[in-house]
Amino acid sequence: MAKRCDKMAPEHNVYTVFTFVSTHQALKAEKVLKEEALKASIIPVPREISSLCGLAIRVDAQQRGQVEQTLRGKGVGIEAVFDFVPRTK
Amino acid sequence: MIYLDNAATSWPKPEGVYQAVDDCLRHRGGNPGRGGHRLSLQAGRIILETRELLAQLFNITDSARIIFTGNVTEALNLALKGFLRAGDHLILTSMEHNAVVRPAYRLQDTGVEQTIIPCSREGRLDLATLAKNLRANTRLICVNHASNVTGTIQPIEAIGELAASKGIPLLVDCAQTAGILPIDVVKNKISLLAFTGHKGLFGPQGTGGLYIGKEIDLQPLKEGGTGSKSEVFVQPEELPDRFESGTPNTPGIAGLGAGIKFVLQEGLERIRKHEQALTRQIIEGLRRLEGVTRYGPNDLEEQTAVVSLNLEGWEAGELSYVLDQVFDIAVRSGLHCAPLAHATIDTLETGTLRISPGYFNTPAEIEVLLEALYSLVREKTSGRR
Repeated sequence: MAKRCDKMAPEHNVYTVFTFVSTHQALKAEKVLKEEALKASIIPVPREISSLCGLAIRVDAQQRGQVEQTLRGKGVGIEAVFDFVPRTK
Repeated sequence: MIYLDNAATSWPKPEGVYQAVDDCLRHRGGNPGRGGHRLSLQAGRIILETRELLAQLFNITDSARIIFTGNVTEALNLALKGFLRAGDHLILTSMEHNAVVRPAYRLQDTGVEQTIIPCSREGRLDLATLAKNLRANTRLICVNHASNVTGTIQPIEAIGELAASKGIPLLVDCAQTAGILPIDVVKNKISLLAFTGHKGLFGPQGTGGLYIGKEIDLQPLKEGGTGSKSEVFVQPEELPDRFESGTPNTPGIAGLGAGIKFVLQEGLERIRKHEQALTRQIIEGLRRLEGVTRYGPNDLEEQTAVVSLNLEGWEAGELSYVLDQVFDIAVRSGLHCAPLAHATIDTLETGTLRISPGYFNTPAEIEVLLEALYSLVREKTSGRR
């Protein structure tokens, strides 16, 4: 299930962070998404999140479903998925 | 220098291997999997890429199940010591290298039983004998895919079938065959595959690894930093981190990746054919020489590019020394770290001279070797008169 976190939002767009069970899986996720031409950045895991691995993948929230499906389809070990919502102030 | 010691270390390497090591050290020199800056990520990507290339080569579905080690010896130690427990029975063959024989011997101290299946004088393993030696507590069968002494290839597909039919995992030491013979962990029903990077895969020394099948519950031999789950003191369960504590040999793994790419580009069949042609040339050339005793199978299809021999009137070490010093030809003499194999082919006292051509050797170089051997024999014969 997606967890929500509204503390860390450097911009106004909603975005999604995938965490992984190991660096291998994080880098594999990056590779798989690149092969599928899905836009993703590899980032250090945001402090609000606890993860087994220090690297995470950030994608546009609208891509979340497609990214998740692609990663699972390729057997990438996803740990958790988080949606980051910008503060409404 | 004519280099004919490829069974020990392949040399030279494909150009891409030198470039990959240099590029890694110069431009991707961060610590892989530690931190998220770009230089670290670059290093991490190298490791991932090499893992995926290995997975492609050995038909491994999940590349995370490939662990990097310093060499095949470390991989075999991990497989044997991480898997076997007191009361387990291990089967190995008399053609094993000391990389298996010594850890297996030591494991006897911890209550692991072992049976060494004697192979024929050509180094062949008899499947019926293997089947007869299985016990209720046999927990692992360990087989050298091809001997580093005689080149004898074992029928791993048939061995895998037998092992699988009895529910016993198969550990294969493919030090001599990776990059030369097809190896398919699914088709050959291999549960543990120990490989080295510096021979047929054309990588630098200090690279190797172990494939660990899903069905295998393996204990790590070392614990430490993995760049993951840092807040807990327990070693992570996730592969490959579970078995890869400490900073890896990233430049070496970069070179290994380039070596595997070369192998995949050239194709196993082409590499094998070239090595077979050179081996045939050596064997046929030796027939013209008197006093040669050659070991191993008399069939090119049943051996890798290793020709082990003794020459009457010559001690193997002396012969290799003269070939090196006088003729600038590098071959190896002695027991090749495999005393059990030498006992099997009855050369434990003498050792052998081992000629092992590789993909970069040429027929002209083999001709120079043969001419050198002819001249040495002529000299000895005329000296006696």
